[in-house]
Amino acid sequence: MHATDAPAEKVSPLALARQFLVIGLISFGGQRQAYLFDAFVRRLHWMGDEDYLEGLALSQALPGPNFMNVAAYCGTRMRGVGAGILGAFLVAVPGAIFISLLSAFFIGSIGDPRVVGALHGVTIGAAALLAVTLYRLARRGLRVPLDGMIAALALALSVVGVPLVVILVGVGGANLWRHRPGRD
Amino acid sequence: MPDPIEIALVFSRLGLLTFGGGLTVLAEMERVVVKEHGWVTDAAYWQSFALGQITPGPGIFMVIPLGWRIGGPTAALVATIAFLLPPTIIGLTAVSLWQRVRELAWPRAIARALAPVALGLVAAGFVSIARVALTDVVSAVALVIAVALLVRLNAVTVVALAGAAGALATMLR
Repeated sequence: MHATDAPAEKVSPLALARQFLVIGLISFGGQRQAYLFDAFVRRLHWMGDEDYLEGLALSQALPGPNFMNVAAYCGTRMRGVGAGILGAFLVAVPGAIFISLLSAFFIGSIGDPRVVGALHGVTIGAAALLAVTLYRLARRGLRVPLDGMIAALALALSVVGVPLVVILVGVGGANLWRHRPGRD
Repeated sequence: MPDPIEIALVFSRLGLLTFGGGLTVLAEMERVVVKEHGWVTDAAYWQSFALGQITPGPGIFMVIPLGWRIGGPTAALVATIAFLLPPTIIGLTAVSLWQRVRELAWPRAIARALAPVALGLVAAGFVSIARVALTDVVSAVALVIAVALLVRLNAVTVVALAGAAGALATMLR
C-alpha cells in the first residue's frame, strides 16, 4: 500500500478548497481533526495513514487548535504552503460565523432540552468517529509492541492530568533515543 | 467593557499556552477569566464552552461568545484575534518549515518518536469525550451502532444521525 503514502499532488486546488470548506461547515463534536482523517485518508485516499499521523504528531507539539494545525499540514502536504493557509482558514471560518450569530441572538437557547439531547447525540457520534480514527491510525502507527506501550503510557499520563509539555518532552524524548539517527 | 488591551493581553497569553490543542487551556482560562478578573460568571463560561461544542469548527471558538459576554462584539473580536493569531502564525510557519526538513534524519526520527505519543494523546481525547458521552447503557449502545454505521457511511452523516437521535430521544422521554 505504498501508493497511498504519497500525497496526491494531482488534487485540484478547487477540490481541496471545497473539502476544507465542507469540513469547516460540518465538523461538530470534539477532536475535529478526525473529520480531516475521514475525508482525506479514509474516503478520498489523498493522503496515507502514516503521513497523516506525522501531521497529527507535529500539530500536538505546536500551540493552537489541533484542527487548524492538522488542516494546515494536510493543505501544505498536498499543494504547498498557500493551500495550508487556505485549509486552516476554511476549516475555521464557517464555525466562527456560526458561533458569532449564536452569540448575538441565541445565547440563552442552549438550555432547551432538545438542544441538550442533540448535543449529547453529536458527542456520541464524535466519540464513534474518534474510535474508528484511532483504530486505523493505531494499526499503521504502532509497529511493534513497545510503540503500543509508549502510546498507553502517554494516554495514562494524560488521563491523570500530567501537563502535555511534560508528556511530549518526557515520553517523546525518551522514545527519540530509540529512533535516533544512525541507530538502525 | 474592560480595557481592550487587557483583554488582548489575557487572551494572547492563553492562546500561546494551547500546546496539543485549543481546549487544553480550558481550566486555566476559567481561572483567569472567571476567578481572577471576574469578567463573566462560571455559568456564562460553561455556556460559552457548550456553544463551542454545538457549532462546527475549532471548539476553542468558545472565546467568541465568551468575549461577547465580557464586552459585546468588540471584546469578542479582540479576544478571538488575540487568542488565535500568535499560535496560527507559529503553526503555519512550523508546518511549512517541516515540509522542507521532514526527509532529513533528525526530523524523521522526531516524527517517528512522537507518533505513538500522539496516538496516546488522541486516545486520551477519546477518554474525555467518552466520559461526557457515555451516561447510561443506551448511550453505550448508540456508540456501538455509530461505530458500525461508520463502516458504510461518512462521518458527517453518522454524526448528524446521532444528533437527530439524541434530540428525538429527549422528546420521547
